[in-house]
Amino acid sequence: MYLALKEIKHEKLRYGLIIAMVSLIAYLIFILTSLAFGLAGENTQAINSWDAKSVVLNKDSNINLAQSTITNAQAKDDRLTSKESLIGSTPVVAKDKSKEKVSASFIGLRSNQFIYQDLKISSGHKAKTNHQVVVDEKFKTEGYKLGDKVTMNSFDDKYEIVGFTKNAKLNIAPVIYGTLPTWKYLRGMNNVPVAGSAIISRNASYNEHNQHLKTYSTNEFIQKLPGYSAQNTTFGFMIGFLMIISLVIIAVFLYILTMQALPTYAVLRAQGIPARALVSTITSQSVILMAAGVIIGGLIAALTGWLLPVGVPMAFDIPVLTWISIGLMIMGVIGAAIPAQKIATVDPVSVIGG
Amino acid sequence: MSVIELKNINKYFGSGISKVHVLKDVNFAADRGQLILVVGPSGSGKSTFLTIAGGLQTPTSGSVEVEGQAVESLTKAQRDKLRLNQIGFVLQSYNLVPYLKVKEQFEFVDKIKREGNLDQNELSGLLDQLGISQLVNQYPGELSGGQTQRVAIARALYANPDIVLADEPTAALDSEKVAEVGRLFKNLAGTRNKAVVVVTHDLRLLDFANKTYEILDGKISLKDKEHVLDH
Ligand SMILES: Nc1ncnc2c1ncn2[C@@H]1O[C@H](COP(=O)(O)OP(=O)(O)OP(=O)(O)O)[C@@H](O)[C@H]1O
Ligand SMILES: [Mg+2]
Repeated sequence: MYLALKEIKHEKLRYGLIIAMVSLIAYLIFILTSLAFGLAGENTQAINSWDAKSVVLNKDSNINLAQSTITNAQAKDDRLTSKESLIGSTPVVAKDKSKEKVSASFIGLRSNQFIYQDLKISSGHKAKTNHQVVVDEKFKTEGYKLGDKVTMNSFDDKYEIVGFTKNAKLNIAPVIYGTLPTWKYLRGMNNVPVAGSAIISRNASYNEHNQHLKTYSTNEFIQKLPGYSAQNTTFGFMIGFLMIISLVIIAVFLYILTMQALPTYAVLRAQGIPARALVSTITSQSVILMAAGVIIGGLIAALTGWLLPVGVPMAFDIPVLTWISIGLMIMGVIGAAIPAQKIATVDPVSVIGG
Repeated sequence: MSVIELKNINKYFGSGISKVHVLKDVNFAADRGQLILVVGPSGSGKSTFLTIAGGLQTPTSGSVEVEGQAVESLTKAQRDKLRLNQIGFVLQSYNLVPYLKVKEQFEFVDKIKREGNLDQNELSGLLDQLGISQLVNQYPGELSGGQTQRVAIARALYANPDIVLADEPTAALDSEKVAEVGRLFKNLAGTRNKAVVVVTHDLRLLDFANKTYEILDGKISLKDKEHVLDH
């Protein structure tokens, strides 16, 4: 540790540069991770807020909410308890003449079922008629407020925003909660005998009673959300790759420095300094560099999160970021392995003579 | 009793047609209280001799005893310990850690070897004697060749070893400094009862030695100082 710190202190520029590099990588990793979690959250927030355990869809829907319809007859077969809610979902574009259009997910609810009953309103009240809606707070940031009247898709009908709710996003779109008749109307299925798109259940072992329906666990349903797994795989891949890049950078850097300093290490070995002490020097240097990079990268990431507009979906998940930081430290230890091996096996005689 | 004893040492380097016989049946002993000079031309095997004596290299045949212990029977860690505690090496080059100030070179020894090092008074006496007291806050890169060598000598003596093995310790020094180092070594041997072995082709040190050996073509022999060839 003594040598490790002295050397860093003496070679400020060198070590400063490598810390800068590690900081940038750590920063990138933190931002990507937070973005990944943020986006994942915007995919699933609404589902999580329902506290659902399983989702019943039409068997032929390919586990896609937008493709699923449940007919009146099928819904009748499935006698719903207080743990089930029938929903009708459809993507819509909401607009108010003077404001930005908002792409949203319309979700029609029944007022006697749990999603409607348990809906948490942050301002205003729940929808009481077919022409009232409760919307995600994202609408607020787009300039909408209570009492605004919006139209959806190309219909002329106006719907009044009577309430806002937090954390209601589905597949990265803010949710508009309305009624099932409104949903039918928006889908143009007023004269079709459909009841909704899906049954959401808080019962993990819910069993559908109709052969055309199938129950999926919430997790399975989330994994099949359009783009969800692809997005997470991409992020996971990028983050993993950055980890490996950080490993290679630190390993190459330490290797070059070690090779340059090998005569000094050889003399120290000749003087009887145990190899263990020298190996711990290079290992602690590596960990110090990583730790400094992680701390600086973390601070910049926190600053970024603080400065970034609310619309950017970033979620700083502290436990996950802590694990990533520990992962980077481990990369540091692994990165020091080759230089450490060089030092441990240096031949003191190699520098004697001349 | 001799603190270092080499018996029938032979050392070969390489193999087959490029095999060289660097040390031939070398017998050598150093006692406490003696300053021993080993002279010889470049390439004669002086450094090889010194590293074998210090347990850094193993001879092809023969045995080395340091303070009664057969070096070949020691483990690697025990040899490290022997060099750390009993032997002070002054090498031909790279003696100092480049990113430690002169005073930190000694501090570092304290971190590894916690006991038996010189105390502050003894250290400042040593630095005075070597004329390097004013350099304690310098980095090795800021020192001249001669200053570096004198700091390296101080570094080797700091751990207060029984045996000092020095390889060309005066190569970069002017005559006045050579005399200073010669007196210091002689003093170490005489008053502090150490065994000091100096390998060199600097004949200016001859006057300070108790004994002088010469290595020629891998063979070592005791010489009167009048008969040492000028290399
Ligand atoms: N590791 C080695 N491999 C092969 N040959 C070596 C090795 N070390 C030394 N030699 C050879 O052994 C001989 C003696 O080398 P040594 O370094 O002991 O000489 P020296 O007397 O110290 O010379 P100088 O005064 O120049 O320092 C030389 O011919 C050298 O080339
Ligand atoms: Mg030599």
